[in-house]
Amino acid sequence: MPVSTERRFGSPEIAREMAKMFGDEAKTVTVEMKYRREVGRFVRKIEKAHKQAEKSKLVFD
Amino acid sequence: MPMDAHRRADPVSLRIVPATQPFSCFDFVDAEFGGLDSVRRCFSLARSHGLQAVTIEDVPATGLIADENAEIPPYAPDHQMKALRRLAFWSVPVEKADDLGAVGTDGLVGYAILKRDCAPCRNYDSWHVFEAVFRKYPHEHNCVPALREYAIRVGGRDLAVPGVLYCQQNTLNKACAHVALRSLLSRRLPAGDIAYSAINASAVKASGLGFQPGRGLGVPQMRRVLTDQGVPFRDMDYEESEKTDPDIREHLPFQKYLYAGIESGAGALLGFRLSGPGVTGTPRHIIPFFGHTFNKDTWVPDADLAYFDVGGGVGYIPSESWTSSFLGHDDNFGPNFCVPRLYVRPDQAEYAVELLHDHFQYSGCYAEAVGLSFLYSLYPHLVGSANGWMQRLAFYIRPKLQRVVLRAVAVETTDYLDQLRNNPDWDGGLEDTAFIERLASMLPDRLWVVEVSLPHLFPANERKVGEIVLNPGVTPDPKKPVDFGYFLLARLPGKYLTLQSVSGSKPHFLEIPSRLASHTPVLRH
Repeated sequence: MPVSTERRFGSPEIAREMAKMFGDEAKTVTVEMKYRREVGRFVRKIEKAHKQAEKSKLVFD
Repeated sequence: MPMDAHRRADPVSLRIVPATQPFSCFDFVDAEFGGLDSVRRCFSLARSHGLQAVTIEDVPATGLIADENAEIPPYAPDHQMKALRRLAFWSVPVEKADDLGAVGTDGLVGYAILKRDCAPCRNYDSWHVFEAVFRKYPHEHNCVPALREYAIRVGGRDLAVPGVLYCQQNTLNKACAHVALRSLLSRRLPAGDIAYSAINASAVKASGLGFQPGRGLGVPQMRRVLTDQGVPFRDMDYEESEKTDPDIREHLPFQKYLYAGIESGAGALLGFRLSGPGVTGTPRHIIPFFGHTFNKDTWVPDADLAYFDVGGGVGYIPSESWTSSFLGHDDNFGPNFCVPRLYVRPDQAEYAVELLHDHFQYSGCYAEAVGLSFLYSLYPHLVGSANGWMQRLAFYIRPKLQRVVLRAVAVETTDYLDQLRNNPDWDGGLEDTAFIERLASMLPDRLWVVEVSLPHLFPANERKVGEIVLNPGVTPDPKKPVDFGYFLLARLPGKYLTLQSVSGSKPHFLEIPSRLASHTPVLRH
């Protein structure tokens, strides 16, 4: 069977199902996202490097 | 064309050579295969597995080998295949053909198919290892994720060897880049292997006129091969990237690419500049990597040299810190070498490729960074927990320390859920199976699981305190630094968190209880 990463549920849908399943045992916590800028800069570097490799002229023999 | 036809061809002849003392592998390789280093390496591997006998079959060219012979003439019109031999290496006594019917498959250490090509117009007449597969060293800290078995017929008997395909160039229709690609692609393609003619057909599309495969592949050609085979990847040409980021070798070292590809089971490639006495010009070589050592007593993480800074003083200890060597093949010298992680100098590394699993949209170090962002954001909610392991986690992720251990693993969801289902925590707590069944119906088929562990817990016990689970199928959006769409759930000691909603940049997580309140084993491939 081919394996895919197609989303069946996103996290909000999972949260809804879990809220139903756990009832009063579930609680909501609100979070201030930290380091988004630093992490964002880092992951963009990975993607930028991948894009720049399109221009590579290296040959391996 | 059946991709294993050449491994299963019926032999024209069979010889059995006892290889116990005083048999000399050196003399034999000198006498029969021109003292070729790569063949010597095959015999050395067999010897270290307790070699007792070698079977040598002359076989006809079929399948991928017939395909190669048909491909070579445009590049070497007078090409002739002079010999083709299939060698099987046995760690049990084999004295006569009848013995082959009785030996167990465990007695087969590995095999090598050796081909002698001759092309006078190219001044070429040499043996090379068309392919070989050897079992890995049995040591538990010699880790090779996603081993597959290669079917092989010996003396009319069908057997199989687990390992990673090694192949060697012949400079006629294939160079180091071809064989490195075939090693890794044969592990994952549904057909089980790839013909060099298919690699060259893709390379031609990315080439100008006059493509000569024996002279190697360029990066655009290698990328085209991967794309045509539907293999996602992330790569880095350090010279290109240095034009806009002079510190790129420090920010994204080649080891990050190699380890991420290896640990996910997809593999990685490293292209580097050769150096040393006798090297002229700027020759380049590329080799495949598929495993790593795990050295639990290594000094590096404790000495604070392993801390990986994603930028702005935000960092973590990557699990690769306990790796001393990567395991790979070097087509010039043979299969299954340990290449020290820090042996290739950063300035020698020119190109690194992390292969990804099918449909994955971002890399392992990307997943670790995203997981880090979610984990560190949760810090204020972990402080003050009554759970001792949560307290320890909070201690290690506090902003002034940030010494948490992260390990990104690409897994099928069933494997992740099986681990939740079958592995009690250290105190014997088992997860609620009804919860796992409900989760199973909601998650995608594959996941990036960023395992969260602590110094000393990870190396000594190979255990973790939780994981951040991400959807690998979400395409990175440069406008969203940390896309909430990646996040599926976090499991931390005694609790799960799933994302309910987002107000502006503030996510609201639903917290639910977990019966796993302490540490659990890390995922194993």
